[in-house]
Amino acid sequence: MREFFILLKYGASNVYSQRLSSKKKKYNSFKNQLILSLLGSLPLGIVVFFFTKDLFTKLYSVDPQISKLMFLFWITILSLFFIVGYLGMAMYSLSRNEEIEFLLTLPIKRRTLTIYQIFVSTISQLFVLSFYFFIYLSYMIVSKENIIFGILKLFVHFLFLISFSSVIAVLLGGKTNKGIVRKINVLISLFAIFFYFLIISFQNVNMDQVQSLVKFFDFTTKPYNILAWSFISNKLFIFALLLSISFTLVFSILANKLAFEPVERKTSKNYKIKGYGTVMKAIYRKDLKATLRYEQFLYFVLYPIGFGIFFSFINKDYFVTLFTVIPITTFYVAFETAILTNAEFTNLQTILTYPVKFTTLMIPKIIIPTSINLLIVLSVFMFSAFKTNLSYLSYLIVPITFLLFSMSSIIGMYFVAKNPPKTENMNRIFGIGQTFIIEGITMGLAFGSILPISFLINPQTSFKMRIISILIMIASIFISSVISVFTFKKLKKHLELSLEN
Amino acid sequence: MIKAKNLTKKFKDVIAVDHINIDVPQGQIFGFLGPNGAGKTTTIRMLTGTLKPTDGEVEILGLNLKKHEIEIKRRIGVVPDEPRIYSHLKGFEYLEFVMDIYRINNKETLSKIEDLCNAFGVNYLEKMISDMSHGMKQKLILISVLMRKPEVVFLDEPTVGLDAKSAKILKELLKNYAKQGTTIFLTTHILEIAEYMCDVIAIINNGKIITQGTMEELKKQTGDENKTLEDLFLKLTAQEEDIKHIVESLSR
Repeated sequence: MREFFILLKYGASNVYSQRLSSKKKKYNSFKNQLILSLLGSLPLGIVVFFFTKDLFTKLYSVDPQISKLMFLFWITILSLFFIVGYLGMAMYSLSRNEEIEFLLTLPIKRRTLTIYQIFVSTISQLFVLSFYFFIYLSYMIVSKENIIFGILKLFVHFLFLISFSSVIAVLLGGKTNKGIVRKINVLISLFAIFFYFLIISFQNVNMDQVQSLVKFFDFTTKPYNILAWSFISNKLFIFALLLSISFTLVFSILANKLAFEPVERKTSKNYKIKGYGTVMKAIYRKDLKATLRYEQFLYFVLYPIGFGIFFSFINKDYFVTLFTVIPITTFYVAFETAILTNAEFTNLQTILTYPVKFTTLMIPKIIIPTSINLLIVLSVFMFSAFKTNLSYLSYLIVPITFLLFSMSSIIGMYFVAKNPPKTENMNRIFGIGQTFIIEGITMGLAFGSILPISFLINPQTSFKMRIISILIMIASIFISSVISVFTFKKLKKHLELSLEN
Repeated sequence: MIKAKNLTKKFKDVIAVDHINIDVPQGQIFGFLGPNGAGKTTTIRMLTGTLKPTDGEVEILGLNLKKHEIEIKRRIGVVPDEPRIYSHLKGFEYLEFVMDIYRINNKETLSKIEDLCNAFGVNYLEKMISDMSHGMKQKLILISVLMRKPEVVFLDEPTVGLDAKSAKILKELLKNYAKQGTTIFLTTHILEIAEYMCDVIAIINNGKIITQGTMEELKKQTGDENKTLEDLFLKLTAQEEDIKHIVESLSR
C-alpha cells in the first residue's frame, strides 16, 4: 500500500506530465492534478445534476418508463465513453512505456504497478465518471430508489466496467502508444462536452418531442445492452455482479504475471527518399506534418466547428456559428503557432547549423495555423452564407479574422520564444498566467471586432447602438494591429538576443 | 580552412572562451579536447555560426563568418553534441528535409544515403524520430551530414551512443575523408580516439587553449615520451593529483 501511495505521489505524470515552471521548478504531484481534474469536472457534474433532475421529474410525471429509458440511454452512452477512454489509456499504461521502463527497475511488485496503472487510468476518466455519478444521483432521487441498493448498483456497474475493460486492456496491451491515448482522450473530452450541451439543450425541447425521441432508446433496455446491465433489471444486476467478480479474479491473476510488453507500432517499410530541392517547400512541408501529426489537431478543428454548429441549432441562427467559431479559433491559432515554434527551440542547436535564416524558419509558423483556421472560418462562413442571406457587411469578417489570427499567432510565438516550455506535453505549452493573457487578448479582441457586425447588420439596431458598435469595432481592430506590431518587434528583438546566447 | 583569431565569448560575467586562436589547414583532423565546461562546445558553436562571439574573428573556407554565414553553413557539416532533431518526422523525412534545406537533389546523394545506411546499420528510416534511441538519432544526424560530403566537418562528441562497429566505421571514414581533403574539427572525451585519429590536438581549459600540437609535440612539451594522451591530458589540465586524492578518499 505504501508503495502504491509513493507511486501516486511521484508518478502519474507520464501521460499527464505537467509543465514545470521554469522559475519555481515545483513538482506537480498527482494530488494537485487530481484536485485540478476534480475542480474541472465537479462543477459541470453539478450543473448536469440539476438539469437531469428537472428533466427526469418532468418525464417521470408523464411516464416513469420514459424517464428510465432516457436514463438508460445516457448511462449506455457514458459507459461507452468510459470504456473507449479507459481502454486506450490502460492499454498504453499496461504496456512497456517510458514510465514502466523505469518503475520495473525499482523494488515494487508487479501487482502494485498494475493496480497503480489501473487507478491512474480510472482517474483519467474523471470527467465521464462525474457525469455518471450526478446523472445517476438525479435519477435515483426522482425514481425514489433505495439509497443503499442504488449505491450498490452504481458500485457494481463501475466495478463491471473497470474489470471488464482491464481484462481487455491486458489482453490487448501494447497495442497503443501515448499519441493514440491522447487522441482518444481528446475525442472523449470532445464527446463529453457535446454530451453536456445535449443534456442542457433538452430543457428547451417539449415533452412530446422527448417522448417520440425516447422510443429510439428502447434498445437500451434489452438484455444484450451490457453497458447498463446493473440498471436494467435485478436479474441482470446479479449477472453484472457475478461477471465483475469473475473479471476481477481473472485480472488479478493476469496482473501478477503482466509482462508489460513493448508497444507495437506498425510502420511501413515502403518509402522512397526524394529531394525537392526547395528550401521553403521543405520548411512548409515539415511544419504542416507537425501540425497534422499533433495529437490534438483533430480537437482544434472539430471543437470550434462542432461548438459553432451546436449553437447555431440552439439559436436557429447560422450567423451565431461565426461568432462562436472566430474567438475559439483565434485562441487556438496561438496554441498551434506555439507548438510549431517550440519544435524549433527544442532542437535549436541542430537547426542553427542549417544554411537558412532563423526568420525564414519562423514564417511558416505564422502562416500555417493562420491559413488552417482561416479555412475553418471560411467554411463556416460559406455554410452560413448558403443557409441565410448574409449582408455585405458580414464579409468584413474575413479581413478582420485574418488580422486577429496574425496577432494571435505572433503572441503565441513570442511567449514560447521568451520562455520555451521544458516539457514534451504540448497541452502545457503555456503557463497558467500566459494562457489567461492569451485567452483575454485573443478572445476579447475577437468578440470586440466581430460582435459589433451582428448589431450593424440588424436593421432594428438603434442609431446610437450603431455608433457604439462601430467605435468598439474600430477600437478592437486598432488595438489588435498595435499589439501585433508591438509584439512582432519585441519578438524580433528577442530572437536576435537569444541567438547571441 | 578553419581560422579563429582572438575568439572570445562572455556570458554575463563568465568568460567561457578567452581569446583563443585556431588554425586548421585543409585535410587535417583537429582534436579539440578539454574537461567538462572548458569551452569546447561554445567554441564549436562560434566556429559554426550558431553563437555570436563577443570578440574575435572566424574564417572558414577563406570566407568571413560574419559576412558569409549562410554560404559557409551550406558548405560545412555539423554534428552537435546532442542529437536533437524534429521528433514529429520519420527518419527518411528528416533526410529529405536536409536534402531540401541544402538544395541537393541528385542520384549521387541518394546512393550515398543508401551506402551510409548500410554501413551504420540504419534500417529504421521509416520510424518516427520520437521513437528512436539516442544512438539511432546520432546515426541519423551523421548520415545527414556525411551524405553531403561537406568540405569542413565539425563533430562534437560524435561517438556517444554509437555501437562499437559504427564508431569504428566513423573513425575510419573520417580518416579517409581527411585524406581526400576534408577538414575535420573534432571534440571527444575518449582520448584514445583523439590519439588514434587526430593530426593536431589542442587542449582547452577554463576557456583558454593551454597547449596545442601533434602528439609528439605534446609529449615533448611535458618531457615524457612514454606517456599516453590520457596521462598528458590529466597532467596538463592539473587533474592528476585531484584524481589520486578523490580515489583514495572514496576507497576508504
